Amino acid sequence: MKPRTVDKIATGIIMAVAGFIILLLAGFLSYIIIRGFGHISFDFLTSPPQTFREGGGIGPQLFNSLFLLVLTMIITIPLGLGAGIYMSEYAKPGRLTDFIRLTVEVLSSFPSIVVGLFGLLVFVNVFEFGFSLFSGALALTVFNLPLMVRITEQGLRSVPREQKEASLALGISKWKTITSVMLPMAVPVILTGTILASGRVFGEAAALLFTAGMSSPRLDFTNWNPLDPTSPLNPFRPAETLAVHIWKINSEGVAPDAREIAAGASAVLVMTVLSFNLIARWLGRMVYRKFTSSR
Amino acid sequence: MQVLIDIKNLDLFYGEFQALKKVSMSIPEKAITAFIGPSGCGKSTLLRTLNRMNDMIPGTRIEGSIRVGDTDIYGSDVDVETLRKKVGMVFQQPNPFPKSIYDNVAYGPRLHGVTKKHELDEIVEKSLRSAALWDEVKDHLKRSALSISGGQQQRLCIARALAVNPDVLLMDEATSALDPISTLKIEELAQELKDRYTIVMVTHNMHQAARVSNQTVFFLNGEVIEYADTEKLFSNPTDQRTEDYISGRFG
Ligand SMILES: Nc1ncnc2c1ncn2[C@@H]1O[C@H](COP(=O)(O)OP(=O)(O)O)[C@@H](O)[C@H]1O
Ligand SMILES: [Mg+2]
Repeated sequence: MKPRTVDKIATGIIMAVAGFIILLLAGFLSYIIIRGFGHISFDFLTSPPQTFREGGGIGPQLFNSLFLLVLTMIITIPLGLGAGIYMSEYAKPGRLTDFIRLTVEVLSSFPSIVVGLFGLLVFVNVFEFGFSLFSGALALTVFNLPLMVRITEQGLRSVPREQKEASLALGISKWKTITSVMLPMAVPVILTGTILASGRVFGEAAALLFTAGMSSPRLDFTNWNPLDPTSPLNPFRPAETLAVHIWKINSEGVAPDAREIAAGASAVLVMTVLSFNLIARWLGRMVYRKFTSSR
Repeated sequence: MQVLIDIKNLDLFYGEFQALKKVSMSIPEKAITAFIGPSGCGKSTLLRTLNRMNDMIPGTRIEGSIRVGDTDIYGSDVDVETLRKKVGMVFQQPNPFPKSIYDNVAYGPRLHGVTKKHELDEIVEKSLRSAALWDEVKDHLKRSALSISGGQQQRLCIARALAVNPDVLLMDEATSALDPISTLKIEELAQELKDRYTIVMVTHNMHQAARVSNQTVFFLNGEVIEYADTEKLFSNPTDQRTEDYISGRFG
């Protein structure tokens, strides 16, 4: 066969595979969204679930998912930034660095259910944080940290060496060079990566079953004292998230409209994660433009 | 002429590879010294030892001594940041920060602790004037530094280096990425700056060295072959290899 024919056939096959994957994804997404969309209403998004009767909502679960995301990011971002900066700028190549890198890789390939069981053992039992948002956030941190470290490293490495040298050559210390030249330039990459990681956290269920728990205490949305057990802001209360809720009603829901609720909740979940992705892209581009071009 | 930089028996190794061999020279104050020689002969390496930018390359080892003024810059008590403030650098590719023109020049002084707006304004204006850029940019200091031409960017980088008040300015092929007119402007600028600063420039362009420098050093394979007043080196070189190089027989 002529090389050109081979080239054409190979291109054709690749295009077909890509097209098939896109179709599959699009079909999958639209199925979930179309099936659940009709069930979404303001009431559905804000009212608490019902165990036996019709008309339950997902208000507390939605809130829990968002709150847990915020908690997780409050823990993950500083740790991930710190470790990422260390790995990319300070760690000398050698055994220790290789070992840390390997650990990070292994950690990121753990199945999330294993992370959940680890969380149950360590955070829930040993440290006695109980089934709580805090335990859940720690488990998700374990799950998310490798990604965050890699994102930070990647962001810093994307900064041209010339920029770093320009600052160092002015007698600016390494640390100040990192914080005032390199990190700002890495922000678009880090920001985009962080939001994508958030999407993963938002949709996670397995790691939360045994850490954040599968129940939500009766929440009083007028009580904003984070230390009160009925306050939604209390990080030491158990909290069922949206993803866990979907899993639960699908497997043991007894309300007559359980299927519709699961469908509606899935649509909400998918649309939220999707919008995270879109926002990440848009924000990344905007910040990049702001940092690099004229106003 | 007063000697400002004194290099004695300098060896530099990148791992196993010896990039500089027993380099010795005295660089005079408030004059332009040019390093010439074929690509890969160690010009940049030597230049970057003067502000210790080679420190960042793992596996680099140095023997011998370099004094700048009274300081042995590889001595144990030397603060690299103070050294780099005194020995500024301009790179081959213009590398302004993706910030405004003003913020580029103010960057160094700001991080070295100047906070008052009027002081910064003064430094920025003075530095931009010294770099012969003020008249071109004074009306849009807030614009991105990436929006001006390559030649202007390179003069901005010079202004940025001058803003931290150095004694020495190192220029590593600072015009090789520029068009002839911008190149000429930078050469003229160097002539003006040498009254106040000690300038060491690397150039791959012999004619540039002949045009602007007071002293010229010719390198070959990590060694200094000849070091003389520019006029002497180009009109009456002592070493046959220098003669071959400047008459274009190799390199
Ligand atoms: N970071 C480095 N690691 C190893 N070798 C290097 C490094 N930088 C430069 N060299 C080598 O050192 C020699 C001198 O390089 P350089 O000083 O850049 O030459 P010039 O500026 O005269 O072209 C070259 O042979 C180059 O390959
Ligand atoms: Mg060079």
